Amino acid sequence: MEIPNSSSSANKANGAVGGVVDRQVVYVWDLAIRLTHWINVFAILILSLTGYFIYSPFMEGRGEATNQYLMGTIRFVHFATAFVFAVNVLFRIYWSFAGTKYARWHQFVPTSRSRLRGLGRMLRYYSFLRREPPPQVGHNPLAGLAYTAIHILFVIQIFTGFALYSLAYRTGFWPSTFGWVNLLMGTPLVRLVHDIVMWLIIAFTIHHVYSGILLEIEERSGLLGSIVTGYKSLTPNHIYESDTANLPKKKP
Amino acid sequence: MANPEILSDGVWAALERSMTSRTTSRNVSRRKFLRFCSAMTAALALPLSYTTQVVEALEQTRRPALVWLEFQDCAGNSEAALRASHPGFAEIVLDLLSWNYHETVMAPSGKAAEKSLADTLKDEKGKYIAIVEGSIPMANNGIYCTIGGRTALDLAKEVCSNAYATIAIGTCATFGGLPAAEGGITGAVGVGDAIPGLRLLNLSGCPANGANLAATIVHWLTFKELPATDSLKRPLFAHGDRIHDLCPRRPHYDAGQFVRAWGDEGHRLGWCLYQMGCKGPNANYNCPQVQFNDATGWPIGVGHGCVGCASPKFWDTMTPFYRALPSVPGFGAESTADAFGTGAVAVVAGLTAAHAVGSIIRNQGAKSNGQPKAKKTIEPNQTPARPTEE
Amino acid sequence: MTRIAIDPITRIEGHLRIEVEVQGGVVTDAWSSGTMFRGIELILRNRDPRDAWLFAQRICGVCTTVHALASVRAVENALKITIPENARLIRDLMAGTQLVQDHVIHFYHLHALDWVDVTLALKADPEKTSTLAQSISAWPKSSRTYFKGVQDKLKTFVDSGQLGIFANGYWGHPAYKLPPEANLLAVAHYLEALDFQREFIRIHAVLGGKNPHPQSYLVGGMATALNPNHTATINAEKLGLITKLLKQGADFVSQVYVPDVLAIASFYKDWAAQGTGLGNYMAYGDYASDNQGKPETYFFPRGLILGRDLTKVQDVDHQQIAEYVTHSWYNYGAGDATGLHPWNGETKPNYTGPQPPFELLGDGAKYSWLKAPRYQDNAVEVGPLARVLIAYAKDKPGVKPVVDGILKQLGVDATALFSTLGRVGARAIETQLMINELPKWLGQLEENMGRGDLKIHENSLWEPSSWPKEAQGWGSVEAPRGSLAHWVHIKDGKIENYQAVVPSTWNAGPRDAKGQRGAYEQALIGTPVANPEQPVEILRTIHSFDPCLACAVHVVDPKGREYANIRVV
Repeated sequence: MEIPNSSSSANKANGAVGGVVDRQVVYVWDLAIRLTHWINVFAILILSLTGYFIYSPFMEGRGEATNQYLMGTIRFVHFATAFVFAVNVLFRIYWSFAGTKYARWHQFVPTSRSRLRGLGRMLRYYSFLRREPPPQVGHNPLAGLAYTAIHILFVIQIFTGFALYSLAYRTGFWPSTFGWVNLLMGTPLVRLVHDIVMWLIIAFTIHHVYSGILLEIEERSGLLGSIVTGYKSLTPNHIYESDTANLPKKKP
Repeated sequence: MANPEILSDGVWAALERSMTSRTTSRNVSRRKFLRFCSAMTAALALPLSYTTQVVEALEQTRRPALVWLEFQDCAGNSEAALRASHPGFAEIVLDLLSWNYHETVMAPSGKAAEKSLADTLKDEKGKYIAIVEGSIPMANNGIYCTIGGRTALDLAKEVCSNAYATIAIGTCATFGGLPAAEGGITGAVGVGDAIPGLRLLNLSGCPANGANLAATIVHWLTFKELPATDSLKRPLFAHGDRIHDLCPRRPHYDAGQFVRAWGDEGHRLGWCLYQMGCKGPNANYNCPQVQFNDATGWPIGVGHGCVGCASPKFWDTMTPFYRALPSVPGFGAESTADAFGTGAVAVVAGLTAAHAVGSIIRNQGAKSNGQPKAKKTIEPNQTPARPTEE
Repeated sequence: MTRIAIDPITRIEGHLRIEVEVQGGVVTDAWSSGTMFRGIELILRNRDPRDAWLFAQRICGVCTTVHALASVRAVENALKITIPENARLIRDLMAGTQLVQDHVIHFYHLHALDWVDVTLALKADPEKTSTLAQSISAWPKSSRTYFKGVQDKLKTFVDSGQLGIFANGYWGHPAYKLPPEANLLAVAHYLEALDFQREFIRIHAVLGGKNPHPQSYLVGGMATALNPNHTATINAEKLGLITKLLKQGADFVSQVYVPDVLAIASFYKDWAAQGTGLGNYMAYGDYASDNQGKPETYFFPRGLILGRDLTKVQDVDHQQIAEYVTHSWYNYGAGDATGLHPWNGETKPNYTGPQPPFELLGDGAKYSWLKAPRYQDNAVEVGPLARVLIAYAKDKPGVKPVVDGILKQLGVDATALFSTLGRVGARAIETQLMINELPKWLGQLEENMGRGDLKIHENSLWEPSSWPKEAQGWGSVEAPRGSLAHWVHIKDGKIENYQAVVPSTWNAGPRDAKGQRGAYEQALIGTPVANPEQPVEILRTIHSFDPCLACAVHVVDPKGREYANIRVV
């Protein structure tokens, strides 16, 4: 893709340096992105809590079993949420081909030279070898890659989860679609993977929130708020230097 | 076509002579049976003279033959067969089938025993059932199991490929079982893997419940076909449902009532054993319904968890048996998923905190950004203008 | 000189091949070799020691349960766990039940056809059979009508022309000495014993969830939940079922099994001089009446008898055991002439036999998958005979009168015990002793439950975090076939090394570094062989040990002599 003068030394001094700079409000995250993000947040929260309970029930159902449905209820919540989560993830994957510019797959899989270069720059920034984070309008290439990884984890979670869900069915859609996972790994390993991936997602979340705060402090771009409003406020230089700023428009 | 009702007495007499004593002993009305055969002949549009052949075809003059091979086994499935009760072993072996070769119980040894096998292969070719107990070692030219100087594979190939069908009994014969577990060196595999392409039924379990063997034989004799199977070739009547879904302790699971220590109150109240490592949620077997030893008991009923003994590779996938989840590979036998997961989270949190400190130091006295000021809006699909030189 | 190879030996656990050297109608030498290897000891490495018993139990499905017991005892010994009394009682009830059931199966279904000619039963007069039956026992199934029914059933079976498991038996062999009436009696009881074994072992399903391979053991106790006031646990209904089954068992043992053994033995007294064997007998002892498992409280006493000297019973120290692989398909790091205690045992397979298919195993120095265990370099015999002799020599209360009574009844002296027939008799004697004892253990369990003692497991050392960094232990059991022990080395909560020396390793093992024969090999020397094509005499002696190999035993000539005649039968 064409990124005119992206390495121009004339632009070295970017908009952030020296005095007040006019900022432009950029509509970055469309409604679908924001919605899927927040559905993910709540789904992951609910799934992790209920999932951990299913693995290791930290409360006891008291009294006669006939009056209790603690585990049953929690499993119901887990399953119901799992369906929402799965549809959400599926839609998000679809949206990465059909959505607006910053929703699309280029943001997640660095293929262009500039995205790959951005990857190195971002890594250098994180390891304190570079002062400023490379300017981006949408996701920076490293974050994009991380979101690819997290979506792979999501897909693993969906497949292992539905594989376990399919165990209760003799025949039909669930075993025929997901039963192979159990046969491939052996069911206990499916459970183990399902559990470990949960922890990996939690670990990712910690870093995800932290990097959001960090970049917000660095750039003051309204990054944290943008996932609610959709808007970032960026300097012209920032926008210009971003390698995704000049992506071709989506074909109608 | 002749009407069976008007057959001459001579034809009846001839037909009756063609009947074997076996029909008599089964108390089937001979006349009724012959009438049926005649009607059958008519229905098939065959000449009346074919009635005798129809009688012969329908009348089972010989008990179906069966041979039972033992390879890398513990004879546990043979013992389990002895525990079958309906029908019992004596009825199966003496009345229902011709049990021609089974080392654990047969009278002759050595060459005399081999003759029993050879006779069956010759006389009953394509008609007998072959049962295989124990895994087949493939490593090292098969020297880990030889019988009469022949390897298990050599024997199994000859016997199973000439059988009407092969029943692999026990998890060793179905999926390799214990000799195939991690650490094993004999290259043990189940019958299906050793000899692909057989008409095979996997009667899995460690050992396979004798009741299921008896049921399979009755199924075969009654419905004249092998029972329907799941994707692992296990009969649906025995492996169609999950133990967890049929477990009498399931209400306690749904209620969230778990045994937490052996012999605790929950254990004495028959609560769910999942926290003690029960593999019922991972295992398809009919133990909860048919139970063992004439429906006297089963492991979960007594108070010990299921170990998933009818599943492929259960010695590796279901262990450790006393934990809900397996150990995390590569982190030692003591590594629980919990420890691994919380550890991973702690590492990430620690690194993040360290990075935060680093970032704060880096940003000490750095830039002084003013408050961002909104001026104009750019839509996502809009290409931004090149910034003007200042 | 004729060399005979019998392969497979049937009516045992596993496959067995025997080759013997016959001269003048008598066995002059024999070699014993297992030809099946599964590597369970290798598979056990790096596993959770609490899981080990489930693996180890699969060593054998016939003497099921005993390997589970040896395994949990070995781990408990290593971790210094004392189990609750209820757990000990449940374990003893299960092991004792197993012993009774296994001995009955062995006699009728694995051994009887060496003594009983099934076809001769057709010639019996049911009336005379009835008289014979009533003269030896009060067992109610003894009418003329009953035996006529059995005979008719047998006739229908034989007339069908499909003899199944009885086809190609050595029927008509001159070594069969029973009159037709006794044959018919034995056939009737062969069928009754099939029902008995199925019924009696339901005790395992009550206490262990199933049989074979009961599943209620735990390191530290049992998982068999006790609660007289719950449906899902051992309550009065379950105790009542066990009581009933024990009563049925006692009736069958004292009215069918023991009288049959005595009746059949009276026709085969010449076998009290055959299969004499090593003359060294060992038992670890078992069934302590003390939760620590103190040997002085054993119901089956511990001891060692050397050279048939019943006046001197030595103590047994497991540290004196060493296993040799000089003639086994394994290598030891320190050389194959050395003996290793099982704690330091190695399992490094090294097959040097011929490539299959083969007629004879060849003349290699190594000829077996079994190792050769020795006690202070003595080859010893283990099993019911060893146990009865040790109890007899130690004058264990209740044993001597029973043994002396039987000897008197048969009109033979105590030396008759050192024989093929002695092994058969000893098995019946200890079955009777055990079935008398089992209700007492059940009574103790009931008493404890009545007092509200429902403890079945010692929890304090369940979690691996409570274990020492490294520990070694051993656990022994007097299994139906003899002295069984497992040795375990635990390191960092995992199994570092695991070795099992099973009764059939003692009895069926090959020669050691000194060339001393194993128990089977020695016992076969001098056995008459009337017809090398039908070696029923060899089967009698081999079966008298109740082989349980999960492998084949193959007897070969290591010296490479030329034989005028090699027969594989």
